[in-house]
Amino acid sequence: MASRADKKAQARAERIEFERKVAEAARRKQRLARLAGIVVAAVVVIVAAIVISSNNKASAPVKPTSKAATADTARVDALLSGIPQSGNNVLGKPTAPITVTEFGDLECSACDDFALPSTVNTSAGVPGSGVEDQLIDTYVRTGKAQLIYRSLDTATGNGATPGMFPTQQAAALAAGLQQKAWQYIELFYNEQGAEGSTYVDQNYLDGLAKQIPGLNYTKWLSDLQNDSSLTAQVSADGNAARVAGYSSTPTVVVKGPKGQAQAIQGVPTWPQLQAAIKSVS
Amino acid sequence: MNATVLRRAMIGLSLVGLAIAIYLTYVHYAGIKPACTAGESCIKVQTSEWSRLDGVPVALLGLIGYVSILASLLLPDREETRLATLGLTLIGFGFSGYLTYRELFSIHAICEWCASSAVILTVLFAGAVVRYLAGPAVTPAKGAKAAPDAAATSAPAEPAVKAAASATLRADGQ
Repeated sequence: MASRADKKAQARAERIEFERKVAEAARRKQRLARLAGIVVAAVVVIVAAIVISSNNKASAPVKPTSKAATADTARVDALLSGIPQSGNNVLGKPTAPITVTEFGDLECSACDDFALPSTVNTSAGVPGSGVEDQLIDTYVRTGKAQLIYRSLDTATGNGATPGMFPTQQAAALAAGLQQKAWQYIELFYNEQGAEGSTYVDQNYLDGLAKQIPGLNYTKWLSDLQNDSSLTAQVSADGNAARVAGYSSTPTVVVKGPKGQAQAIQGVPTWPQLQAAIKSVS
Repeated sequence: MNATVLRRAMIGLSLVGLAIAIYLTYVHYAGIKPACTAGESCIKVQTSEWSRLDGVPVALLGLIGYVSILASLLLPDREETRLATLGLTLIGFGFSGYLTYRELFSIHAICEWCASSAVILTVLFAGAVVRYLAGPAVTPAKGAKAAPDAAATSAPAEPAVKAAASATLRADGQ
């Protein structure tokens, strides 16, 4: 009796074991199918992310303002065309007797005011002063003065991306190695974002470089990344300004055959700048 | 490895990853320099064109990713949630692998925060694969003990058979 019951139990156990194995096999199959499904889905997501990321590269430059890049480029081109550039930050005939040095911060809104014509709004939403354009047209284009851009960290250091200062200023100097520093500086001001915001990143700097007609982007990027003398120059400029006692941007320093006029800290008016130039001519 | 230990280890790792992602997202939006042992390399990476995906900072994507992975680990331990962990960590592993490639060959700078996150995601992905493949109740001997838990939460097909099996065996024993 016991053995019969045992046999019955054994047969039942075997049947259960068989059913269990079948169920497990089915389950394993289902599990693998689900696994394959999730892997395919994940791969699709990854590939999509990579495609989007790679397209970043070819996408339009970051536009912090609504001004059209083409209009900016055309305006800057008209302002600077035909004027020689030398060193990596000098606009105008290198032998011009008058030197006008601007200590500037590319993120500073007062510098934007100095740089932009009255037909274009600054990042603060008001028309530019037009003083720099008048200076360029009246003195620089005519070979009487050369305009030098030097760096002094003000707004950037107090802003949202203080670490970008050396890189953004060096980006202009890297363009200067191709005699296009002033195109870079002017475009930066034309497209300047609100002071204290986070618009300046490598993508923004790349976008400006790509807008400059005739600039070798690959060389520019390589110089920016590898030429440490550019950031050293930026920091030397800052030190020189501090030694001279300049603490705001723009600070405009006019020198000529008769010496140096008193530095103008803040945006100069056109009569003020003309008077300074005359006093040293 | 014990399933509970593995799960806890993965939760711990996700928390570390989440902390890194929170830090990098904060750095991105606050516009401050990330703490960095290798000079300016972190800044180079963090401000590169690959630091955003269609305008969204990848640090923020990482944060969202870690929160999702953590959620999938904290949900009841079921096959579906294990599968979710696997899928999420695979996405994280794949994308951070791509970003590491960009760091090495396009940006030419390595950001140790990003590299740490990439390592964490790799380990999490490996853990998720092990956890899924060694899923509940593969070995019946151990399964007898673990069964009540697993049976309560797993897909219905097998537990039904198993419950029936143990019920029958118990009945027989008596």
